[in-house]
Amino acid sequence: MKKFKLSTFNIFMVYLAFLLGYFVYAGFAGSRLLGDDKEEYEPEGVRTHSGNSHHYRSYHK
Amino acid sequence: MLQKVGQFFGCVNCKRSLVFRTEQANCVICTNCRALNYRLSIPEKEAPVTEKVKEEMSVIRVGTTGTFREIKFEVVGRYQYLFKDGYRNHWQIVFSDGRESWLGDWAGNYSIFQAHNNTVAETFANAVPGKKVEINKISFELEMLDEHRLTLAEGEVNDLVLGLKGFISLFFINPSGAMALVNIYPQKKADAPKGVYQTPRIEIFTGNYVEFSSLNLQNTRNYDDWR
Amino acid sequence: MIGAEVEVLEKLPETSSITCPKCSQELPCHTYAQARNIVCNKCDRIFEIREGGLLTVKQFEKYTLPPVLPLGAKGRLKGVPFTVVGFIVYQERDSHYRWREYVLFNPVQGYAYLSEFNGHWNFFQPIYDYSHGNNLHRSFVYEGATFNLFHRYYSKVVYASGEFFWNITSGSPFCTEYVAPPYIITRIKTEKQLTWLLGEYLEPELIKEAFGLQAEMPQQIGIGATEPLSGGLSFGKIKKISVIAALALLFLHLFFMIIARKEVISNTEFTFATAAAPPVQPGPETDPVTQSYLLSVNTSSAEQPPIVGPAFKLSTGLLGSSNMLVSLSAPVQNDWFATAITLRNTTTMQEYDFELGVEYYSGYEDGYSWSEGNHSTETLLSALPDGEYQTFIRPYQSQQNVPFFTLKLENDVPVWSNFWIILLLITAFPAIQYFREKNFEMRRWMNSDFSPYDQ
Repeated sequence: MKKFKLSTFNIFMVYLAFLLGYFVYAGFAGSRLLGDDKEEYEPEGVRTHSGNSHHYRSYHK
Repeated sequence: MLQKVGQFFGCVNCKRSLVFRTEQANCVICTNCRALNYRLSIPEKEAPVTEKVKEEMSVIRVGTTGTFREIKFEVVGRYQYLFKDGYRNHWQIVFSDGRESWLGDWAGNYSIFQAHNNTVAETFANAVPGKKVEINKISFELEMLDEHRLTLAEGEVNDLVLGLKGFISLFFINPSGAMALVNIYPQKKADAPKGVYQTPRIEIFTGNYVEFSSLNLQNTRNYDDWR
Repeated sequence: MIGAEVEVLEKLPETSSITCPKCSQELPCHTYAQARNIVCNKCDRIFEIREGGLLTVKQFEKYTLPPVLPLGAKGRLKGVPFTVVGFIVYQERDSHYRWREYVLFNPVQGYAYLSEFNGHWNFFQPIYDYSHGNNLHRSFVYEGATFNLFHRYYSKVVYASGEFFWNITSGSPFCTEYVAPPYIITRIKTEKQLTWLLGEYLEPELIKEAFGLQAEMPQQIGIGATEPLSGGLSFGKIKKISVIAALALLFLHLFFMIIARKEVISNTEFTFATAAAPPVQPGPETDPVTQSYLLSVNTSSAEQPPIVGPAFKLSTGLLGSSNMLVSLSAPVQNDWFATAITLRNTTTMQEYDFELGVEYYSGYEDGYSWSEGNHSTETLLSALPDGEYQTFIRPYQSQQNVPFFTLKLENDVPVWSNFWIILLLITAFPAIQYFREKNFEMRRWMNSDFSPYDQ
């Protein structure tokens, strides 16, 4: 079996494969690579909807 | 006695069996005793003996066969030219269709070429490396010029060639793989003043460089250590 | 005497030897009648081989550095077994630069040369399919590569050992070097010959391995004239591959655009109650997609419980998740409006909170009308796991004068930002390589009088 050599070319090809692979994964998973602004809370988390923990930032001019 | 092509005969000196394979050669050099056996010979007259060719590591020998453009050929003789700066082998080959040609062999270069006579001597005046000339309607560039020192031979040859000495040889190339060789023989009249020559006699060969592997040579000298 | 006569026709002979006429040293001779010069490695005399014997040409000064490749060493390069038959130390006639050349011999393939300068090696073989004769070219194309003029000089031999098929001391050849790393083409012109050699950069380790050398190879100094950057990965090659990868990315993105369902799950209008239209209990009406809510004015307050918005189910993601585009629009005028939104997975009770807000201001000052802001905004929720969801909405406004707002939920939309980010990352590698290569090339060409870069 041909030995895999860690050359710059091979690193580049692996890098490209990773990028395209991750793009495909993100496409099927509905992921946005930059993420989003939502906050996630587990069911047993401390926060409830009745509280004031999420005040909207002021839009005052 | 006239020896016919393909008819075996005994060497004048040592009786080794010999044969003419070409129409051009006027003699065949005995592989055993180096005697020049002429096509037209006088019985009982002892034949002159030539010097042996020098060892220059060529894998080709008389009897080697090969193919060029899908036509088989056999090596029947050679001139070994030794120059001031190099050497050259002209192997006489005979194709299976009866045509005769030359197989060039020097320093890892192989070529197939033929004699050609339609170019005037003036074409090669003031020849310097890099100069372009047209030979046989092909543009060539002078790669090298060299001075002849010695000619040796084996197999079927023309003994007149062995007597030609002191010529200038020009090597021409064309990027397409075409090649040309020009031998310029200075001719001087016996009564001419010093340094005055007649128009030189020229000998021209044109052909193509070929890859060694493409010749499919068989019956070569063994070169397994160099493969 | 020009070598020995042919003795054995069946096979090529072993190495021969010639006796030095001056010091009686036995000199190996591999090339027989091809040899024109032979150098005695004991008395350092160079001889011309003539019919009559060996004629002394000159005596070299002793060269203290032994050749890296010993004479007679055998090695396979480019698939061809060669024997080292000659070693020459050259020097530029008009400068102090010296380099070393090894003459390699194979009876079938002919001659090749290994040249070493500052620890950088090139393997040369003659070519016959290119020449521009006696013209001076700054560059030319050979086999698809552009060769640029790198150096011109007259060379002279300062030391040699071994055997040579040409007279090495005659004249001072004029050499012109053109490079297209890792290749080099050298034009060598003498009074009698015009030769073209094609060279290729070889790593020292490759030569060491090919000839089974034990000693350390000469240390590399600077950048070689033909030294490739990063093991042969050129910008040109990387660019080609990157373009292919970018096209693949584009096709993939088109594919995802085609298969994206862009399903509008909900498009809900929330209207705040007025005197004419009294408030009703918030809750979904009949149409599950296009709903409308009538809200109490007081709903727009932090103290009030959130509005229970539309519910929906996500079960479409191939990998168990999908994205959601949430759009908010409100007719704000010199005001702002915002809402906090919670998506609660009613199966796992996991909650996702986010906020959306719009603001729009306009006016007329100093004869010019101006405006800033927007009436609508949107945000993309990434990778929401499949499940049943309930939305909770908590609107905020400053003056209670926004009559209504609209909230649109769209599932499985194409994500353009992913495309642009990956494209940027794909182009980053060649961009870095471009600048590396440029820097490398500038350093390479510092050794040349014909540098295309500003000095």
